[in-house]
Amino acid sequence: MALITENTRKEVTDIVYNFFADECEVDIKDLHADTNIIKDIDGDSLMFLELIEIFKKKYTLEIELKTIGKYAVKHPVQTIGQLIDMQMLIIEHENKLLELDQ
Amino acid sequence: MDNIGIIGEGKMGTNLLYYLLDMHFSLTWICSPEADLEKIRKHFRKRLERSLDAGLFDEERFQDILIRVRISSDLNDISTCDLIIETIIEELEAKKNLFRKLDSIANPGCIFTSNSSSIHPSKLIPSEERKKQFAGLHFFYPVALKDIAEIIVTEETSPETLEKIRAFLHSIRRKFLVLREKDSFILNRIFLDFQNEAFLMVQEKKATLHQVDRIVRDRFFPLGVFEFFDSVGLDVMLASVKNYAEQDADRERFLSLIRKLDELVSAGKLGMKTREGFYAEDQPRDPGNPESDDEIAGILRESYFASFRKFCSSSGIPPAEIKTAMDEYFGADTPALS
Repeated sequence: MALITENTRKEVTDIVYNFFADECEVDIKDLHADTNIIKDIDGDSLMFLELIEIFKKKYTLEIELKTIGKYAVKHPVQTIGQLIDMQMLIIEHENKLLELDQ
Repeated sequence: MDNIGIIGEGKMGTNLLYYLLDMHFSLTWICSPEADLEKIRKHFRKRLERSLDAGLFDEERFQDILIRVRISSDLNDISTCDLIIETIIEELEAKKNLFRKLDSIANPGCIFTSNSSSIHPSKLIPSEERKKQFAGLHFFYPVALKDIAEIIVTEETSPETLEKIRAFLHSIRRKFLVLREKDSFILNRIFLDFQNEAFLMVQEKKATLHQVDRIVRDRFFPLGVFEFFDSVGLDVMLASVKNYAEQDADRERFLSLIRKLDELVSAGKLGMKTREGFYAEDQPRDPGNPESDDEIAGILRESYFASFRKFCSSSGIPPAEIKTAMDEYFGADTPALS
């Protein structure tokens, strides 16, 4: 499991907000935790996959994409806040993510 | 096969391009004449630079990708491709026109495939000369997460063509089912029978929308039937259901569903992308009568397995293989024949 520090959530939040501002060409100030990724900023699941790759690299995570897919199917992400929460779980639990449901 | 052409800048075309980027292929991505090519190129480069900045690959790889990928709206640029994957709008005439144009441009050995999720490849063959090198190649979105594809062979598809497509899928690490046209799009069609049964129960007021979706989520699949419709888009679903119905001997049973989809699409209610479809944002939840949950689940289960058995028997594909494919399709464990 990756080491979570006080700063980790802030790092993740910054990356996610900057990513969506850049990718969806919106002002970062217009993004909030409850911004709906598909309905409000025209995002899609490819963006989610790209973010996962970025976090896998940044935190040297050992987790299969398929594991995240399975988790996401049961816990669909709609908002930026939910996405950050899921990224934190992924960083914390890596390949044991699915055990959270057991 | 090293030179791959992808036609179409929609969700699947874009997704396939990014999926194949990680491999060794030379990629030609043909976008429609209406597309803003400069915007697409700019976005592509921005995304690569972001990946470079994040350390997902190094500068050498970055430059390599820029060399290997050509983004164009000129069909003539596919002339050197070994394999073409068409991913344009799900309309028969649009696809036929495209393949006719491609046929005069592509090299004689080039294999043509269509990613259509509902149109038989034999309807798209542009010429006698190309018929042996034509097949359906149906991926599921997003490709990185859905480790399954359907190869649909026509009566004319040659064994060499099938072998090359198989080899291509092996090389990009995707599992596949090989299907004849009568069993084409088997995963969607098994699920469609289930969706249709669910719809009819709501239509006949045996259950509510919310009740059916809750039961489906709790006992069958990760997503409810009507949530699935709204998420895919009702215009896309309407086109697909019409095509599937045409392929079904008992097509009358889909008429109510087609009428409802038609009605919603005509009213501009396309699902999530217009914020209203079967569901509307301000729609009150109607949980239905929970006491009837078991009965409804029983009917849905029976319908699912009847369809599952029918397609196993027709295609000759073992149930375990179709079950594995369904698991990939849904990204979750699906019900197994008991």
